[in-house]
Amino acid sequence: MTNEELYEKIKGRFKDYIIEHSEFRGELSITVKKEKLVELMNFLKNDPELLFDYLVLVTAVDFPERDERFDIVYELRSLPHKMIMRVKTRTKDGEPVDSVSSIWHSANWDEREVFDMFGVKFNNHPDLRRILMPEDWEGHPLRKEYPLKGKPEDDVWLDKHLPEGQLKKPRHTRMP
Amino acid sequence: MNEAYVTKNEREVILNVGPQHPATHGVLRYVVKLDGERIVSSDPQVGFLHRGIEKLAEYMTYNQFNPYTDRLDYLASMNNNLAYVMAVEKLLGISDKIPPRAQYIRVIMAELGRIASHLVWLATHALDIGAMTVFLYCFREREYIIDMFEMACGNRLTYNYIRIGGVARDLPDGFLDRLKEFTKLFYGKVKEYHQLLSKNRIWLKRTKGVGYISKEDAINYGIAGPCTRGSGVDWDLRRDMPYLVYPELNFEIPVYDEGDVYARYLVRMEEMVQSNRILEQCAENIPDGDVMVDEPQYVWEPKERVMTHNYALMKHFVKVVKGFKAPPGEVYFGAENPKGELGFYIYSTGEGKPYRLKIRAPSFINISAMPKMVEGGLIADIISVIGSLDFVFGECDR
Amino acid sequence: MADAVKIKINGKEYEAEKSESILQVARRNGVYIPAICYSDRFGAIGACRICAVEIVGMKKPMLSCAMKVKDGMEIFTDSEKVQEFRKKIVYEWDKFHPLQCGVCDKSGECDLQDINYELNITENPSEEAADPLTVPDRSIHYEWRIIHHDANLCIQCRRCVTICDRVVNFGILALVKKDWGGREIDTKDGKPLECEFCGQCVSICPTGAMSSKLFKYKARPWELAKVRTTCQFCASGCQMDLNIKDNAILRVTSEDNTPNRANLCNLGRFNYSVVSRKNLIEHPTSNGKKVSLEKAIKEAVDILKSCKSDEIAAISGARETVEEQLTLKLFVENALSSKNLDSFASTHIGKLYRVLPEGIEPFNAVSDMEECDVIFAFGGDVANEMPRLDWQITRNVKLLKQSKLITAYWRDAKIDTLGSVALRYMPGEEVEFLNSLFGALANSLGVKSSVKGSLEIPEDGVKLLSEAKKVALIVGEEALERPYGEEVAKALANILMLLGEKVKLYASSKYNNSYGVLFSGVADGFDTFGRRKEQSFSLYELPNLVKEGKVKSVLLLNADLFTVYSDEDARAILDGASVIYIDSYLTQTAEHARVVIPSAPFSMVNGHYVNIEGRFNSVAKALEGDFKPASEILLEISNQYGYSIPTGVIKDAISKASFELEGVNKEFNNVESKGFEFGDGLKGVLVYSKFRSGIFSSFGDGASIAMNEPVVEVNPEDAEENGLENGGYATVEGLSALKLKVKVDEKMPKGVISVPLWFYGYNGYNLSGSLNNLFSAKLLKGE
Repeated sequence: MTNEELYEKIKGRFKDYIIEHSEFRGELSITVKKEKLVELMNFLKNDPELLFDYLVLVTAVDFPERDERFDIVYELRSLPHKMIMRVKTRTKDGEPVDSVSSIWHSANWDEREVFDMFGVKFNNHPDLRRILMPEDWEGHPLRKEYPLKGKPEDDVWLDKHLPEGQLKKPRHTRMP
Repeated sequence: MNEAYVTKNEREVILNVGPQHPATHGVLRYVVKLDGERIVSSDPQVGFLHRGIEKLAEYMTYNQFNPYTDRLDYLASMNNNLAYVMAVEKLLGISDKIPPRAQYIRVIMAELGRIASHLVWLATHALDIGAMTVFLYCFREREYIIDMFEMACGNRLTYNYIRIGGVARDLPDGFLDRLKEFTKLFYGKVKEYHQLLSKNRIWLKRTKGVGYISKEDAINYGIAGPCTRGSGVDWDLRRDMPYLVYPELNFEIPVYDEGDVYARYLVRMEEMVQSNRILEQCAENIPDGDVMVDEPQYVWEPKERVMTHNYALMKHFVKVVKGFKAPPGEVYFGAENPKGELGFYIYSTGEGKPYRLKIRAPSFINISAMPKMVEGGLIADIISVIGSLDFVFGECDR
Repeated sequence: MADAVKIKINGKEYEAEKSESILQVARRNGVYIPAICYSDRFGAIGACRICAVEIVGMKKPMLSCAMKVKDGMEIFTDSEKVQEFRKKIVYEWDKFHPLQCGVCDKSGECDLQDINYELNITENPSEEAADPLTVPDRSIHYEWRIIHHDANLCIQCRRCVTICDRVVNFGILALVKKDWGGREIDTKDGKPLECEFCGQCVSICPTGAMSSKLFKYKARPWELAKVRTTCQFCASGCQMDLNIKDNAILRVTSEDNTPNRANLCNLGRFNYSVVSRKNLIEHPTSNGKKVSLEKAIKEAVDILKSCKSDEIAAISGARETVEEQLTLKLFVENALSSKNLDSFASTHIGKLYRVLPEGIEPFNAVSDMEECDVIFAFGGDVANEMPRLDWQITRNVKLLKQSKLITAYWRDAKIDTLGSVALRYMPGEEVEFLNSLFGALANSLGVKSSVKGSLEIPEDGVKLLSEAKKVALIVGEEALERPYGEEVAKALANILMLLGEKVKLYASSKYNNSYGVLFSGVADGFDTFGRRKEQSFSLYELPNLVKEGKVKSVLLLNADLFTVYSDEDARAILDGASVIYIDSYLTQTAEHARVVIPSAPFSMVNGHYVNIEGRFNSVAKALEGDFKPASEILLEISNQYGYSIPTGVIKDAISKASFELEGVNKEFNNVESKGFEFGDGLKGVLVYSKFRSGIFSSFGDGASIAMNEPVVEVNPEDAEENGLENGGYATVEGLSALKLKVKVDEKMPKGVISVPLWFYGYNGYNLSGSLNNLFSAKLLKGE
């Protein structure tokens, strides 16, 4: 199935909910409204012509100047039909997105990572905790406004968790 | 609160394995809830080696980031280079223009990397379960491969050899001879490993029927590479979504249906043999020619040009300092790495630096399936499951 | 839009105004057209030709920077034809360009590099064809002091020529024909560069041809971390980026999107080395001996406790952040319950804003000057006092050609070269002049008033002022600092009231945070938020109060006494009272004060400066250092004194960041026609130099290389009479004597000499007495 056919097929069912679509380097990506995300995903996974049974990754891209600042990106693959495609949805800061971990279990940790790194929450997620950063960390590092070398406030966390007597300064060459 | 942390009755005990533990292959904290020796539920905790590589990438030019990929799965740096570089080349639209010799060199390096990585897996996996000899055997052969890498690029662990547009330099004299020598020897070496383990009673007891995951679950959990192929999923990116010169090469994809640790063991053992076959073919068929694509917009120009022509020098400075301007767009490329599918998702806004770079790390995904595999098993099974999943925390935590 | 047209760029339709160029429309809409010589700072030059675009119906590619849009125009910015045309230009630039990117400071931010990359130049036919023996022998100017010019790297885009002429209005650079047969950038007269050394040419140069000697070989551009901050040298509030490497400022840059349009003056751009370690007070001292900070603070507290509240006075130097000023205010008023609080801002703008008429907007954005059709500059040499105002006037008059300029001063100054209606008076006649102008204006506007002066005001000036739709009134600091400055302020207030709503007021100040002083209420007559208050204490009285023993302890915050007092008065204060001095720089006051506590200097402290526009500009900490900010020191002193300063109040005030300062005067003032009685000698005037802003500024390299000693400016006739020649030395006698270098300047009126202020070791106030800038002078020939 070519990308055009794939797009036409999806458009046939979700016409009103597609925000935009594009094809770049042979990869189709479709941006849908987040209300219809789970329905679309179920369709993509179960339709016999598509069978996108493998979720490659879930991630987010941050556009701080946009009102709906986060793009949530789902990279899908159909093992039986050897196809790939990308589904994207958009959300505002603080507005949760429906979880797809009930469709693909691999979304479980990926969504936890998105929550950890961007602070995007997911509805119906079985276990939404931080995953890479410590549980009592403040801030979401992959947001664009988060400084590369960390924040001075991070020292508070270190002071709390480093053992007594451990050398605490200078920790790194952080610019003010 | 995760259910692994709450005991429901007096019989249950919560046990912390790690983060510092000889069998966790890195800093993995594994919380298990036990009923006697049986595992009721478990929760792997990762992130202790989180270095923010994805954040760093947003502040680096595409070429600057290449060495950072070495530090993901440091046992297969060549393969990481390859996956990243191929993703960037896909973004630039120059994937088709890579010279054939460079493609062959890349395949040679990737397959050598696969064998080296599998050797370390086998060595440590066996060591965890109690077989000391295998460890020494494997490191003996791995040393041979590392020497070859050193010959090609001067480094022994982090290579940064495969570059955007080709490879850093042509193969040195005598490399192919050593490669041929190695491929000839290696079949016999794999047989030695089989002799040590495959029918070893202890080995079979510790691996057969342990850490089972079904085909459906393997796909649904997204686990990758040899682990899925041990559960009967006949999928390999080299064959099914081909890249480089893999379509021209003759090799088979080993698949076993049992879904246990032993099946995954057999898959990897067979993969080493198949990689060796690929290497044999490459050593024979490798053509002569350039090893770098001729795209002066994106790749370094030859040093003699830079030193004699001011436009080349000026462009060199722009490429080094600001990075080449990639076209705006987003791409995903996944390559079949020893641990599974390593993928890079790059979002470019047309600047010299990626706007967002996401690494799809196979180790991360594989660990997420661990609770499923060990559930209902014995606590000692954790060790063999960890060994069979073959993860590296540089990659998992990024 | 009345003159709206529609044009097509690369097939897409855009709306535009008739007056816009193609390049402007394209840039506004995010269509990229490369351009080297074009800059928003001065508009089109048309020298580089790289911005050429294809216009349907025209044979040759046209320059988009110079071409105005027409209705229905169809433009292609990236067609093959255009690419070829552009490439040919770059071939010529590259032809003999030296292969020295490796050692060139510009590498990494060089426009020529970028354009080579962008056009993907992979060959150069014109270089192949050229005979290597014909490489021209271009000159390298090592002798231009701060600026290094290498003509070999120049691509002759004429940006430097244009910015020097149209933005800086100095116009010393030109493309000059040379012996080797071609043309290159040089000074118009061929002599070594003698100019304002503002470095605008360095900042605009697309290649490494113009570079800063202070930055040369120090660092690579990509190694530098940029920290946006506000300049510390005058109240313009220019936004600039400190380029930091290894905890040192290596250069200062600014961006086009700043309010000051990337323009910086000599002090801002080159004088960053004032904050280097050797110029800073290193450790606290007490009676000249090194002590620990705790001990110094304790001693300060002891001194303050030993005095009655009305025996303590506090002075702010108007250079610290608003936060620090508010801390001082709270400390002095609440902890010490003293009313003796004043600031150096009271010497000039304080006087004017106290008598501001009702309904006059106190602060105006500098860029809003563009709305004004008449600019009236009074009482000072604006170019020296506040370069940013000078650039804005130049932009209005020279570049946009939309304003007329009237200057009222005692001499021809730099801005008069723009072409002005020159109203002239002699030093000492300011009040008389303003009254006369008021009379003439009132007459012409038909307002009845008894105020009249005796001077004749030229008809054309009055006519322009009375017919203007909007007037920008620029008040020089010098006029307000006359001993009768209060009368000048009242007379000015009358004129402001007369012009009413059509006036925009700009009062220049050399003190970077003098407007912050009005906000924080440290200046006499002002309370927090710039509210009005009874006058209680003036720094004019301080020397006498100390001499009479009424003030026993003086707390100085960044207030170097020698900036406003004569040596005699300053020493009297330092010796007669226990002086607690909190400052960063090693000034003379620091050498003599009883207790000296070093505070974090500019670039090591976070905070805000308020500029002439009433804007709160943030100052960022860029360097690490073990200095405490003055606010923390004051908090500590206050704590030990027994009062804890409510820091929340300060934070609230800063976050509010708006003035409640309003004009109150409703009636015309009665102005006493005060003047200054000169003796029968020459009329001596203390003026501000472009290269100094506070005595501490002479510690920096930029200022001291540009001008390392003060010069007395003399009219040629006076020089001849006294047997002086240009470059020689003369002894100037006022109340005491100073030996100074002579500069003979025909623009000086006869009988007047001027001596610049704030050169380390040359205190001009020794000639005139404290807080005064007029004196009757004698000139004696030096040896």
